[in-house]
Amino acid sequence: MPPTGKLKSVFAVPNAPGTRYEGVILFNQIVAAIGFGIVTASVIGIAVLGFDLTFAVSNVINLGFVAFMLIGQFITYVARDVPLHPWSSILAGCLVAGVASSLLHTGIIRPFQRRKAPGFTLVVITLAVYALVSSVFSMIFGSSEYYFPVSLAETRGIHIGAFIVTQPQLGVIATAFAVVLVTDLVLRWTGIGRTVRAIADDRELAISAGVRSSLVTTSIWFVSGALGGLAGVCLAYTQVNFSTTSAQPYFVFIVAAAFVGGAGEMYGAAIGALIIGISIELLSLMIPPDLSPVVAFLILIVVVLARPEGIAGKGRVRLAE
Amino acid sequence: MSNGFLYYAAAILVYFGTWLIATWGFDLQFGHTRVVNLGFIASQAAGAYIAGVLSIGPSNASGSYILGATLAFPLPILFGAIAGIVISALIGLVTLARLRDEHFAIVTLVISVGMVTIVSSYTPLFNGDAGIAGIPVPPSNSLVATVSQYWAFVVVVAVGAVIAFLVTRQISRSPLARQLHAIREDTVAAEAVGIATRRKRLMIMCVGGGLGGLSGALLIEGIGAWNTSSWQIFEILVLLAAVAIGGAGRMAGVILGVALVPILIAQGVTFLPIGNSQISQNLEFVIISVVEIVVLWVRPMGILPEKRNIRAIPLDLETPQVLSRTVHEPPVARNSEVIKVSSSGVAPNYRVESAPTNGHGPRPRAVALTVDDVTVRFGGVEALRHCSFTVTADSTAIIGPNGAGKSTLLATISGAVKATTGRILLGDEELRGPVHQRVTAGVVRTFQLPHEFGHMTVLENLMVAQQSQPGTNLAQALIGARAWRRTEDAVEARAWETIRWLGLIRVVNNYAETLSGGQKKLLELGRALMCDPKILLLDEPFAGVAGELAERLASRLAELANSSMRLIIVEHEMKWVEVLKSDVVVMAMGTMLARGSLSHIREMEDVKDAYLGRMHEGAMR
Repeated sequence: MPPTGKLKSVFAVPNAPGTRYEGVILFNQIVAAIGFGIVTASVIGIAVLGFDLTFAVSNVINLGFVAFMLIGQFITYVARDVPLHPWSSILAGCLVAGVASSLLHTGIIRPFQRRKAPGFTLVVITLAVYALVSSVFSMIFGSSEYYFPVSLAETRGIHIGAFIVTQPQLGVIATAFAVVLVTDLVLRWTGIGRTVRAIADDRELAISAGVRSSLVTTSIWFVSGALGGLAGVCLAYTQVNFSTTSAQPYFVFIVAAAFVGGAGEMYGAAIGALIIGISIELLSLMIPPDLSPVVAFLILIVVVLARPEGIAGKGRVRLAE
Repeated sequence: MSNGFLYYAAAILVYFGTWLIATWGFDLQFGHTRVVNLGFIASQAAGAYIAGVLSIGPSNASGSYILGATLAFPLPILFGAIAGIVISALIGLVTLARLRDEHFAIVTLVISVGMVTIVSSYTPLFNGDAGIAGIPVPPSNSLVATVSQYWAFVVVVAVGAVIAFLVTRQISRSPLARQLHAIREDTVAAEAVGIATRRKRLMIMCVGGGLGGLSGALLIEGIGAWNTSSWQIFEILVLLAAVAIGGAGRMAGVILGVALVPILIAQGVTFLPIGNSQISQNLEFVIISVVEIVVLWVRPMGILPEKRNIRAIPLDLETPQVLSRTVHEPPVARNSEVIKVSSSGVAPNYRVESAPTNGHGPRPRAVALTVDDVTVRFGGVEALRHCSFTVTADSTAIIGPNGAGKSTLLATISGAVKATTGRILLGDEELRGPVHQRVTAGVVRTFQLPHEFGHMTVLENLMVAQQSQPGTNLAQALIGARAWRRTEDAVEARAWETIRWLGLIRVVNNYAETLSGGQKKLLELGRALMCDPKILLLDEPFAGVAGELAERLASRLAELANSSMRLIIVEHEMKWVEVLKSDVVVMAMGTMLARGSLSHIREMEDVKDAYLGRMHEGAMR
């Protein structure tokens, strides 16, 4: 579930003392919702970026992506007592999620692709992988709530202009910015980035031009999984507590944001995440927060009907003839 | 036998029957039509909720829900099935228009997940996560059913399963199934032989949804309750695994799959000494997902794969009498001095209604096709600019360098690409609408790269092209062979005739995917002819065809040019343009540059200078 009441009050806009105008309160609520929307969008953005990377290089819609978020959350949780820097547990979570993702690619996805399995077979397989991971985690960790140790100092609000944010929230926003920026720089300016773009554009051509596609593809799957793990950790930090089911709404958010932004488009991912994240939070002023996946899926349907290639998309989506 | 065992046996039969109904419905979509509706479970849930609230009376303090009523026995089940149809139709209307393949699959899945969320968070709809409970077991409507009352319900489920069996069997034996399989194999090609693919896919969404709704309605009446945990995101894997293991597109395969997955696996885990229902449900999905992946790898077609439809070759096919019964000679063989018409046969009569009955009357007037000031823009690129000409010759060749707009022109005429401005006229009528409507009007195209229906036999490939044949709509398919047998025989006879004319007799029972490239081209020509074209658009018919096959293709095309049909051919090889005595339209930069006979074109200096250049001089000789 996305942020619930208690935390949201932390993210409140300071009301000027003595203000009696409801309009001002509504305005403040809207500002707060936009602020929280940016936090949610940051989590979605990291996830969608990972989701889009494997779509770009392997043309696989990975419905099992949320499994990496689960892996990231719970490995970080299990490793929380490792007597090193506190961040090493997060690193462990991301690494394990990344390894799981590259194993999924080399062990299952690639063999099926070499056999020229149709796209829907791969969709079904990734869904089965999601079911598998989710069921296994649910067997191990049950339905209890878990939380990362966050010190009191970290939950105190920091004033930035009209907003108050907690330190973890600020960290999540900063992480998302860093991830998008680094991904963009790598794709644009480095050799591996060129390789990835070449494979994304025309796999056969890239291979015949001498690109070592399998190594690059497996690395991208690793990065994708690690980003999934990171998104899971970020989600856990913004929500304070988490369970084996708390990442589930992100299944809808990620697909919706990817479609809204245009599947496989890197900047589309950021745009889609912002649109979904902010709409969810703004509309939650009017409807119960439990319904936020509905908002995401309604936006998805509108986009599918109006512009199925996505807002930033160049038509990679399979359209009806 | 103890009462406990009798209850248990009845419960297993109820599960088996209801899952069988749902999986047959799902397989009509998934196995037959490749409509990968991962939101199928939403139709089952709709059936369950509607049947539930129509059985337990008005909403009260113990639960809030819409439509509460106490309807008499079969009515809640009937309305449940209708609810399944409605919800599937809605999902189909939103998604089918714009999405295909795996994008369709994931959006339908997201829609069903969204629907779970709506039901879960908006309590007044179906009582939120608690769901609808306390449904009496029909037909006795007792809350605590006795053994005999419960077995009476087993009979109700059996009746439902028989209905589902009949619906599925009638459809899968009818000419409609052939069209569904064509959509499964290649939606673009299915549209190009005149199948209204979007309508048919929506129709099969509704039929499958109706069976899903029926299954959900029977489930809730049998187990007494339904809530949001009954149709979570992974529930669709039960159906997918059942179809994958048993075999998609085959009724017996579905029965086997249902016996193995929702019965053996899902019920089997409840016998394990676990004690925690949450963990045993998790274990169920661990097993199902692993089995699903393993089966897709080890046996992608399932344990009982779809059967190939093999027909005996008619013994009399080789005797000329059979042909003379249905075939008329091409009336005026004007080109016969150029083309040596092969002795194997003459062109079958492809325009029955417009051709003279005796075969010796005057040649029927062919219709002209007019391209009137057509412009096509893709983003900033003008693929066609103000292109205008009228086709009146028997055979018209469109030539020009790569990127001249030839394929775009063909696609625009056939309706696959929409003209930005301008119009296409067939005779005096403007051609409008999607591809399949233009096929019905008489404009049929073939593809540059073969678009065969791979997992269908050669004979089926040809028979699918009779798009308005009785038995291809749902009502006639459900009535059964009585409604379509006679025309089916006629279509088959004509398909045999075409196969013989094309010289494909030896491969007639092979799957089209096993043919060589040249044979596929011939097959595609035959398939287009089965659509009764007035205008036949051929996109590089000779590309990839060599030797004897090319000669055969040329002679067949020459015969067609002399029938009442007009050919428009995009071709790079001038040899064939010459052989077919085509009128030549030269295109460059998206517009018509020159027009005339090949020898005339060869003389035109400006054509040479402006477009052909030195590079093409060899090709022009």
